Amino acid sequence: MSEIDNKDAVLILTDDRYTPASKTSRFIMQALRRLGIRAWVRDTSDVRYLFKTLEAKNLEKHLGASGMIHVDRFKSFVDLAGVQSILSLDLHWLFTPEPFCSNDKIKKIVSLWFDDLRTACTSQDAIKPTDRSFQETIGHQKVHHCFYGQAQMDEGKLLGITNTHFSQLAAPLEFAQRETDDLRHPKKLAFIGNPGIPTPPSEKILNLLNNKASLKELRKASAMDLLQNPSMDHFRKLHTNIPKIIEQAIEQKLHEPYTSALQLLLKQEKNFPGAFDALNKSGNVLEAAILIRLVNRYDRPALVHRLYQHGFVRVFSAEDEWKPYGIEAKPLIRFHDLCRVYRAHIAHLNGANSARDATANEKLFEIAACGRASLNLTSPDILKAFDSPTEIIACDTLEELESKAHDLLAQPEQLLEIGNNARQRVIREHTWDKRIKTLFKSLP
Amino acid sequence: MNQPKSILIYSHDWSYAFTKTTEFLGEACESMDIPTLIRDSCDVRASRLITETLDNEEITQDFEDEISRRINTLVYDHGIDCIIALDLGWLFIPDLFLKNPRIKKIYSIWFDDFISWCGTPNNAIFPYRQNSFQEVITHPKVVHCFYGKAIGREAARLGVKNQIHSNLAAPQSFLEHNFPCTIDNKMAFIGNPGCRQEPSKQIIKCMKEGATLDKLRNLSCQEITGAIHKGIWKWTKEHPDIKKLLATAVFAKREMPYTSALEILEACGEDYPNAINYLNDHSRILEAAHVIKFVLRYDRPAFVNHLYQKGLVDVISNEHEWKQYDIQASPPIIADKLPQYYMKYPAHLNAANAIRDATANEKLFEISACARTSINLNSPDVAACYDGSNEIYLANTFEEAEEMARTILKDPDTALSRGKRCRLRTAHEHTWEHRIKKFFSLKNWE
Repeated sequence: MSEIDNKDAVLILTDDRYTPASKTSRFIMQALRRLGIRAWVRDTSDVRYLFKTLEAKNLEKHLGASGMIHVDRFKSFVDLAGVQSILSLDLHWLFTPEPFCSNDKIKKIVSLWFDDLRTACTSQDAIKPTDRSFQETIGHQKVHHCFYGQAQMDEGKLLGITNTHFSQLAAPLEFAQRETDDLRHPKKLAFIGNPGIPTPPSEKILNLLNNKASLKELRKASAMDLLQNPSMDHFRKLHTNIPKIIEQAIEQKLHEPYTSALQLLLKQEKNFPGAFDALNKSGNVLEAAILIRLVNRYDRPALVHRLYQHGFVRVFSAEDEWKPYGIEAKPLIRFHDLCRVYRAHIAHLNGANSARDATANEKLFEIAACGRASLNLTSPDILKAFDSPTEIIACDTLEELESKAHDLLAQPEQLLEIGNNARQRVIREHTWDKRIKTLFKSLP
Repeated sequence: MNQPKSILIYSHDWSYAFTKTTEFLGEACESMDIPTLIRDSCDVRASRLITETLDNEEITQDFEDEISRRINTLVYDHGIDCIIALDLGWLFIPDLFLKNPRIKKIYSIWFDDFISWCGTPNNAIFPYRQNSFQEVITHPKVVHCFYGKAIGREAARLGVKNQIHSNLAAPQSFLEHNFPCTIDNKMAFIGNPGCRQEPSKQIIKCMKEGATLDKLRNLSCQEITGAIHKGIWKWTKEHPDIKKLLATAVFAKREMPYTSALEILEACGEDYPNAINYLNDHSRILEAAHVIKFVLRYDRPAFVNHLYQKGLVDVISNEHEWKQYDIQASPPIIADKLPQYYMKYPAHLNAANAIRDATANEKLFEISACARTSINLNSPDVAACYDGSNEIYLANTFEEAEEMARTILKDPDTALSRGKRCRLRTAHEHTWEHRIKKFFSLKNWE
C-alpha cells in the first residue's frame, strides 16, 4: 500500500482501565485521527476478569455462552464501525482467542509491544501461553508484532512468530506542541517512574549503592545473587546443563549488557548441548532469559540513587518501591499532569527497565517531546534514536553521570538547548503520528 | 471557581460505535484543566448479568467485590473526587461511589427518561436491587441534571430533590470544523423516527395524504385510547378510574403538546384522585406518563415524511426503521463524521423524540455548532435556546416547515448566514464547557 487508506478504521484495545497513568492508547488514537483514520479505544479488562473468574471457579462450561455475549458485542462494533484493523499494546486484543482472527472483516491485527512476552503473559487476567491456542493465535498470519527491541524480537521468533517488525516507541505530538508550562525547577532533575523490578534490594546491594559502587560492581553483585536463585535447582532437574548455560549467559551479560538474554543463551548452546532445547521444550526459556536480564536490574535504581544522594533529582511515583532504596518519592504523576511535570524540570533522568532487555523506552521520547534533555546510560538503541550530546546526554558510568549532572545543572541554557534539539528530532522522526504512518504504510 | 480535582466519567455505551457525548464531556473537563478519565460500565453490567444467571451468589459477590476494589484503587490513585455519567451510567454497583468518602459529588446528566433507562438491557441495577433504587438515586451526593421539565418532574416523583435544569450542548470541537456545503438542493435529517413501535397502516396512509400535525396527533390519541380500552397495558385494569384518567390526559396532551405528560396527568388526577393515588402508590405513575407521551409519537416521522415526499430532504440513519414509513434512508453516520455531514447540507430538519417529553435535543446544538441552521417544530424549549427569527426556523405546521425549506433551498446563502449566527450563539452559550462550569458553580460544588 503506497498511501494510508482513509477508509480504514481502527479499533484500539487496551487492558488498562484501572491504571491511572495509562495514556498511550489514547495518544495512538489521536495520531490515527490526525491521519484521517477513524479510531476508537475500548478496554478488555472487565471481560478478561469475568473469563478468569469463571475459569478459577471451575465454571468453564459457562465460558462459551458468557463469552459469546462479549464476543458478539465486539463483532457488532466491528460491523457497525467498519473496523478493518485491530491495534493494541502488547496482546491486549487477545482476551479470548477467537473474535478477531476468524472475523473476515478484520484484515490485520497489530500488537505494539511495550512489555516483554513473559511479563505480558503473566500479568493479571492475561491469557496464559500454556492455553492451547495461544501460539497459534499470536502466530496467525493476520497478526503483526511490532517490537522496539531485539530481545522482544528474539522472544517472538522463539514462539514461532514470523510476522515481526521493528518499530521504536514514540511520543505524542501534543507533548511536542505544548509551550505553556513554567520551568519551576531550573536547578533540579526529575525521575518519573518505578525502580524497575519491584522486589526490594538486599542489604549488600544497599551498601554498595550507598558506597557509590560502579555499575560493573552492581551488575556483578546482582549476577552473584542470581546464581543463588532458587529456580536454578528447578532448572537442574530439567537438564543438568541448564544451570551451566544460564551461568555462562549471566557471565556474558556482564560483558555485553545490551545483548539480549536469549542471544546470550543461544551463543552458549554449542558449549552445553541439550540445555537450550530442554529449556525451550519445557516452556522455561523465557524464565531463564529473565534471570539473565536481571544482571542489569540495579542500573535504573543506581542511576537515580546516585543523583538523589547529591540532591540533584526529584523522584516521582511508586513511593513504596523507592522507600527500600532510601529514596522518598513523590506521588504518582497522572497522565494529565505528565507533560507539565516534564516541562517543570530542567532535565530528566531516564533508565530502562531491565526486564524489557531494551533501552529506548517511551519516556526517552516523551521527555524529548517536552523540550527537555534526558540523562541516560549509553546504549546502542538510545543512540539510534537521539544524538549525544546534542540531543540527549548519554553516560557510560555512574561517575560520568554524576559529573555531567553536576556540570550541566550549572548551565541551564545548555540543557534547554539540548532539550530543544531533542524536541525538534521528535517532531521530525519520533511522534506517534510518524510511527503509525510508517507502520500502516508498510503493513499489507 | 471551585471545581473537582479529578473527574471519572462513566459511559454506558462501550460497544456502540456512534457514541460521542462522554468523549465531548471529557474534552470539556480537560479544557478546564481538570484531569479526567473516561471509563465505561457496559462490560461490568453485562458480566454481572452473566454471573447472576449462574445463580451463585458467591461468584456475583466476588465479582462485585473485585471490580469495586479495582475502581476504588483507580479513584485513590488518580485523586478522583467527582463522577459524571449520562443517565445513571455510574450506577452499576450501588454503594461503590456513594460509600467512597473521596467521591464528593456524582452528576447524572440525563438524556433518557427514567422508564426508558430502566428498561434498557444490561441496566441490571433496577431489577437487581429494586428496593434500594430510590435510596441510591436520591443520595445527597447525587446531582441530577435534566434538560426538560418532564424528566425533572418524573424524578421528583421518585424523591429526587437534588436536581438542576441544564440544557444539552455541543462540543467545542464542532465549532472549529469548516467542511464545505456541497449539497445545496436538499436539507437533511439525521436520526431515527423516535418511537420504535411499528406505525399503523392508517397512519402511514394519512401521512402520504398529507395529514396535518393536528390530525396525526388526534389519530395517535385514538390509537392510545383504543389500546387503553383493549387493556393492552394490564395495570390500567387495576383501578376502575385509571382508564378514564388516562383518556382525559391523552386528549389534554393533544391540546398542550409541550406540557409534560406527568404534569398533565397530575392536573387531570384532580378529577380522578383515587386513580392517580393508585398509580402513584403502585409505582405505575411513570408508566402512565409514558403512555401519554405517545400522543406526539408521529410528530418526528411525519415532519420528516412530509418534506421527504416533496423531495426536500435526505434522510440518514436507521434505514430499517424508516422503511416502515416508506422512507429510503442512507446508512448511519459514525460519530466522528457527523460535522462533515452536518456541513455538507445548507440546513437540517430537527425534531424531538416524543418519549423524552423534552424538545431541545442534543442535535439542535450540534447542528448549530457546525454553523448550520435547522427547521424545528415550534416549542418553548427550542425557542429559548435559539432565536427563531434569525438563527433557527420554528414551524407550527408541516406546511410552514415546507415553505421554510423551499426558502432555504432557493437561497442557501441566507440559510448559511443563519447557520453562522447559530454557531456564534453556540460558542457563547451552548458548549459542554458552559454546562460543566454551571454544574461546578459554587452552589453545586464545594
